[in-house]
Parts: sequence; C-alpha cells; structure tokens
Amino acid sequence: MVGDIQWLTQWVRFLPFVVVLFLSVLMYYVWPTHDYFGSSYLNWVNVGLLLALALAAFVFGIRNFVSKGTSVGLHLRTKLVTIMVLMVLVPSTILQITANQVITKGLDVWFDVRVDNLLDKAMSLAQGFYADIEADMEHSLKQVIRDDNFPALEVTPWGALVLNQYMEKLLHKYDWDRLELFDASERLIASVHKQPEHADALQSMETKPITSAGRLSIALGRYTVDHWAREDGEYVVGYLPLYSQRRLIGILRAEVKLPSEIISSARSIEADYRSYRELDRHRQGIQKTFMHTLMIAMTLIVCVAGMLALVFARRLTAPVEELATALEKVKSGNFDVLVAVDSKDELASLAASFNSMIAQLKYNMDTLTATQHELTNALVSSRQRQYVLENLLANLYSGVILLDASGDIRLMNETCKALLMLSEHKGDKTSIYDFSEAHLKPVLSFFETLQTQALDDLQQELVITHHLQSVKILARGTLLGSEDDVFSGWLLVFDDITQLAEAQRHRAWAEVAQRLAHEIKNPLTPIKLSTERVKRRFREQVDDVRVFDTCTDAVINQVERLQRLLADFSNLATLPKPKMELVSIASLLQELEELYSPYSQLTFEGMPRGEVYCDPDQIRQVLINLIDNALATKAHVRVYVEMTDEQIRFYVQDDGAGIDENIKEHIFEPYFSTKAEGSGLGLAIAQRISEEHHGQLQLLSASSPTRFCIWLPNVKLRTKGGELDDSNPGS
Amino acid sequence: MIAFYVVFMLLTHVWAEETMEETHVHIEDGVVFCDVQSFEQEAYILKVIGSGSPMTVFWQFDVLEQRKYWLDKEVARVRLGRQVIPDLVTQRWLLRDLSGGVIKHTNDAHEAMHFLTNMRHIAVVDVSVLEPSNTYTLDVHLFIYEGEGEHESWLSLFSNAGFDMGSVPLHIDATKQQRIDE
Repeated sequence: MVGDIQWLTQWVRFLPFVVVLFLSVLMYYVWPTHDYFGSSYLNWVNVGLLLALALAAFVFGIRNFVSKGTSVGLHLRTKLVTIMVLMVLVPSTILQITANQVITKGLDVWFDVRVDNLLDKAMSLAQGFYADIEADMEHSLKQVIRDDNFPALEVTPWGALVLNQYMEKLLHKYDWDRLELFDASERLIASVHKQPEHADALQSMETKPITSAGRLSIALGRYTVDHWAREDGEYVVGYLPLYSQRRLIGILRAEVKLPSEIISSARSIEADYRSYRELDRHRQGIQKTFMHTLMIAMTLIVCVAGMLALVFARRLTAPVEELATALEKVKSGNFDVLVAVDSKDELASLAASFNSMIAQLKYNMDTLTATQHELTNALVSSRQRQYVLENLLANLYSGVILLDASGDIRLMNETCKALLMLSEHKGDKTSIYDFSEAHLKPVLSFFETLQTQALDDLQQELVITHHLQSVKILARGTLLGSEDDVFSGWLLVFDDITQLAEAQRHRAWAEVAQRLAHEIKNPLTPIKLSTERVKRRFREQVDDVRVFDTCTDAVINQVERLQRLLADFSNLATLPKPKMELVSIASLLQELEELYSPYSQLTFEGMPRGEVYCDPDQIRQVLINLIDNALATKAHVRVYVEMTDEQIRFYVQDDGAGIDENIKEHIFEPYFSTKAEGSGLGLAIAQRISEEHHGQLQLLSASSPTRFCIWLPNVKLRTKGGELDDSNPGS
Repeated sequence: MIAFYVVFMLLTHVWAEETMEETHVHIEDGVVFCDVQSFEQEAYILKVIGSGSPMTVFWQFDVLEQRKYWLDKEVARVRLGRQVIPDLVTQRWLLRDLSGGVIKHTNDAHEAMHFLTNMRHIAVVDVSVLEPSNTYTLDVHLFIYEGEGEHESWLSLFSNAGFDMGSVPLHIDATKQQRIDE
C-alpha cells in the first residue's frame, strides 16, 4: 500500500508534463492551416489558450520537479487540483465530443440535398426569367432588322416627326419601355418612352450615354443585349447599329424595365443562393468554428475550475501545511510551536488538539529534561565520588574489603589483594567465604568472629603465612549501617604491621641488649683483670700449676668471649647510621685483597672501574663477614663484582659443601649460627647494613657453589643532593 | 520540450509543402517583368465565383537581396489587386482591376477565374535599382479573400499568410545594365 502511494506520488510529479504533451497535441490539431479561408481567429484564440495552459502546466511541473516534493502539502495540493480539474475536464470533454457529433449531424441536415436542389431550381427560374427577357429583346431587335420599313428610314433633320411616329410604333409593338436613337457620333437624335407611372420617375427619363455594350455592338456590327442595374430598377438594354450602304448612320437603344417584384424575388433568391453556397463551401469552417468555440468555452471552464481548485486546495491544505510544518519543528526538537485556530471546522479542532498535545508534550519533555539533568548531575557526582574513592583505595597502604550483609565482596583494593597474597586468585573471590586457603583462614575467622558476635567493631593482629613468608597484619572490622539502611555490611581494613612489629621488637631487644651489655660488660673487665692478677701473683704458690693455668685461662677466655659477644650485641643494637660517600670499587676490593693476601684459596676477579655510594667501613665489614664465612669452608672462594645501570652487585662464592636447605631460611636471623664459637649475629648485621644502604643481602645459591650477593644502588641513580630517588623501584 | 519540438516540426513540415505554381521572370528594356499563374487555386476560385460570391485577390511581388548571414533585404515590392463580382441571375461577371480601375463584364466564368489567377507581363522593378554584384530573388505571393473587401486587418495577418507562388532568382547582366545606365 505504501509502495502504491509512493508510485502514485512519483507519477503525479510527471502529470504536468503529460498535460503539456496532451495540450501540445491538441494545439497541433487546432492550429489553423494556411488553406483555411474562413475566419481563423478562433483557432488562434484556442492556440493561445492552450499555449498559456501548457506553459502554466510546464512551469508548475518544473517547479514541482525542482522542489523535489520538499514543500509541505504540495503533493496533497497537486492531487486535489488534479482531481478537481479532471472532474471538470472529463464531462467537458464528453460534452465537447457530443456537441461535435450534434453539430456534424445538424450541418448534414442543414445542407440537405433537397435544399440544395430547391435552391438550384429557384436560381434557374430567376436566371430563366432574365434569359427570357434578354431573349425577347434579342428577338425584337431581330424583328426590327427584318422590318421592311426599316431600310427606308433615313435620318434627316426634317424627318423627326416621322421618326418619332415610327419609334412610337416600335415601342408599342415590342412592348419596350424606352427607345432611343443615336447618330454615329453617339448623339441622341430621337427618344420615345412610355409614360412614367410616378411623377418622380421623370428623373429616370434622363438619357444615359452609350455603354461598352453599345460600342461592342457598333464594333461587331450586330445587336447586343446588356443589363443595367440602376437605382430605380433593373433594365435589359438592347443595342442595334443602323447602317446605310455599309455606313453606320445610327444606333438604336431599346430598354425594358424589369418588374420590380420579380427582380426583388430574383435578387433575394440570388442572395440566398449565394449565402447558401458560401455556407456550404464553409461548411467545414462552420463546423470548426462551433468546435473551437466549444473548445474555448471548455478551456476557459477548465482554467477557471483549475484556479478555483487551486484556491480551494490552498485554503484546504493551508492548515495541513501548518500542521506538517509544526510537526517538522517538533520533530527537530522545537516545542515552541502553536498552530493558529481560525475556524470551527474539523481542521481547527485538529489544530486545537495538536496545540494541546504539543503543550503536554513540552511539559513532559521539560520534566524529563529536568529529571535527566538531575540524574546526570547525580551520576557525575556519584562517578566523581567513585573515582575519588577508587583512587583513595588504590593509593591506600591499607587493604580494604567492603562486604555486604551476605558476605559478598562489594569492593576490595589492590593493596588488600597484595597483602593477603590474593594476586594469583584475582577475580575468584566474590565472597568472604571463598577465603578457603589455609593462609586466609585467620581472615575468615576474624570475619566470622565479627559476624557471629554481632560486634560493631573488632581489632585483631593476624599472622598470615604463605610459602614460608609470614606477614603480620592488624585487622580491623566495622559494622556498616543496619537492616533498615540502604546498605548494610562490614568494612574490613588490613594493615601490614610486620615491619612495625619487627621494629618494635628490635627496638625492645636493642634496649634490653644495651642494658644487659652495660650491666654484664662492667663486671667483666674487673673479672678479667683480677683473674690475670691472680694468675701472675699466685701462680707460684699453687700446688698444681697446670690446673691453675687451665682455670685462670678459661676464666680469661670466657670473659673475652663474653666481651666479644657483648660487642656484637652492642653493634647490632646501636648500629650507627652509615656515613655515605663515593668510594672507588677497585680501591675497596684492593684493600680486601691486601688484607686476605695470605689466603691463597681466595681470588678477586676483575676490578671494575666505578664508584659505589656507601659507607666504606660498613660495606667492608659486610664483605669481610661473608669472606670469613666462605673461608671457613676451606674451599676455593671467588669474589667478583657486576655493575648494571641500576645496581652494583658484590658476589662471594665458595665451593664448599653448601648450606642445608632446612637452615637456609634462618641464616639471616639473629643468634642463628652453625658454629660453636659464633654469635649468630654476623649475617643479621650484614643484612641490616645492606638495608641501611637501600640494598639487600641475598643467598643466591645454597648448594655448592654457595653464592651470596649484596647489591647496592648504582651511583647514577642518585640525585645531586646525594639522596636516593625514592621513586626508583630499585631503591 | 520534446512535445513542443515534435509539434513545431510537424507545423514546419506543413508549411514547407511544395507548390505547383508557375512563375516566370524576364528582363525587357531594363525592367524586370513577371508572368505568374496559380494552377492550384483555379478550382477553388471557379467554385467561389461560380456560386455567386465576389472574390478579391492580391498579387505581391517582392524583390529580395540575398544575404548570407542576415535576413534577406527587401529591395522592391509590387502589390496588385483584382476583383470579380458575379451576377448570378444575369450570369455575368464583373472583372475589376483594383490597381488601374479598369472594369469589364464577361459571361464566361472561366475568363473571370483566369482574370484572378493569371498575371501577365507585370513590371516589377527597374534593373538599375539592382546591384550586379548582389544576388536577388523574386518572391511571389497570392492573397485570396472572399468578398469585395481587402480584409487587411490585423486578424488577416494570422488568418491569411498568402500562397507562395515560388521564388525565382534574378540574373542581372552587368553589361546590359551598364548600357541602360548610359
């Protein structure tokens, strides 16, 4: 159906051109041909009208085609005008065809053959009457010639009386109305005539000159008959030349006046005959005249109907156009439209309904826009808050988990995942109850305690051990909201307090160690001095010197051992802050090589050029500690250095039996030692020094060859002020 | 537009029909004379005057200078009128030369007809008027009117465009013209 309407719309656009074609063909048929002898102005009127119509249709078609139907209501208007014009054109055409048939039949009746014959006969009668008169004249003139008295007639001046009597005789004999005699010089000699019937007829008695017919008669030498038509009537005139001895002596002119009644009838017949023949000759023209007149009327009617249809269509489509235009504005988002309501018809009702609808639509749109604006603002605000919260949580050093009432995880930051070592299970945990791994049991237990005991908040220290790595966590839980609130759940916050606890423990231990060292160190010196004094003074007095020496030496040795132990304690507890300076790596290693020159199994490989930013005494102590441990294995020891852009790595490697796998995790713990004489503080102090230098001491390989590495940040990464750049990941 | 073109072509085709008239030109004593006779209109004219209707004809002789890139220039025009007034009851026809005023009666309808359709020895233009270097043609047109009036109104411009009796080229001999000028 839609396709049909579109097809019809497209067809309507070409309709004006079809009309132009039709009118052009019509113009061709009404164009006056040049062999047309009738009045052809009607043809030209028709051609003019048709041409005007064709031009109007053509212009309309072009405008319609150029506008491509974008004008609102154009199609509807075109259809209305077309339909109305067709409503007039169709009956008018039928009327035209019918009238043409009627005219054709009427002309056939009018120019019937009987009328034709009748007029011919009437004309023949009239012509016969004239012919008879002329024949009588000719016959009379012939009789005059044959008259026996005629040759005796001499034209003499004294014979005028005789001549008049003779002419009177001829006048009455042949029933002529007038008889005149002219001499050879065309001068009137004698004239006789009947008495005029009316007094005013005297004027007609005036003698007329000889006409061309008379001269023709003279030239031919025989009588001629002519016809006169004068104001007082028509005459048949006969000329007869008179000869004497072959010499022209005169010319006789006889006149017969034709009866006025008969003449009138004859002339009337002639006029009718002429008119009839003229009409008959112009029969086709008459038919065309009627047809063209009708066509003009039809064309004018169509024009008037078209104009009226156009006006009507404009008035009818104007409200529709206005509505369509308003709808286009509404479609483009403009609701400030109002359609004028000028009348009280259905279209006005439609316009009023449209206005009402648009007003309601505008109110709804305004409300919707306001709501949308509020929602947008709220959304923006919410997104901003969420963004701030996410950034806050992401940058927090504390792990945060937000749980809803059912224990589902609504939010968990990356710190928490790292702290609880959940990186491998990222995305798996959707609920707190998914914390089923062994190292997460304390967390689940903490939450269950918080939940089951319905506590508003809870704080516990948890230890999470995973892959031999223990982390001490301070867990805090808080109940959020209540059942009536929009959200209810728990907020769990985890802080890594491993270093804090270690520091606290270390500080407490250092304080204790310092106190103990102070308390123990003080009596040791007098004990050692007293024992040495006793040994010097009483060695000679004792019975058994060997036992005495053994005892005193044992006291002295143990006191010294205690003093060394206390010195280590003191060093570990009160390790001074490193005095950082740029030290040549080569000189540092050179000193060590000289120090350990007696040890042939120790080799220093490579002396890289470069500097290391460190406290040389402390680093030297660390390296000595590592080298001593390595030399204790009695195996070959290698010391070498590697430099990268980020780190300077000192390696100490021995080919000893290696370190047991069970103890390698504890070798950096204080007081752990596999030696009977060792304090177990050497590697602990070394690692602490490394950490103080923002480096690290690592056991790279426990099995043979055993390899330790202490790496320090490369000097290139330091700032001008000599401070380490904390943003560097290696720092 | 195509429809207009088709109609125009049809109409021009109608106007461009060949005529079968006879027109002759000869130069005599430095004057161009023309003899022309319309065969095609004889039957019609005979019918009209035979049925009693007066008839008036005008013969128009145009001497045109041929121009290549412009309309032809009219050098001379001669327009002669003749008229026949029938009298059916007496069966006589009045022949009237409208140019000279000569009147004649005849009882022969054919003579009246030939009086209208024949023009003999009509002096058109003096050769001295014409330039030997130019090309000239003589166009003859016949205008026929039923009735005694000339009907030279504005409507007749549309209704009667005249019959083309043909166009005859004028061959001007330069030597002859030189002699005439002397």
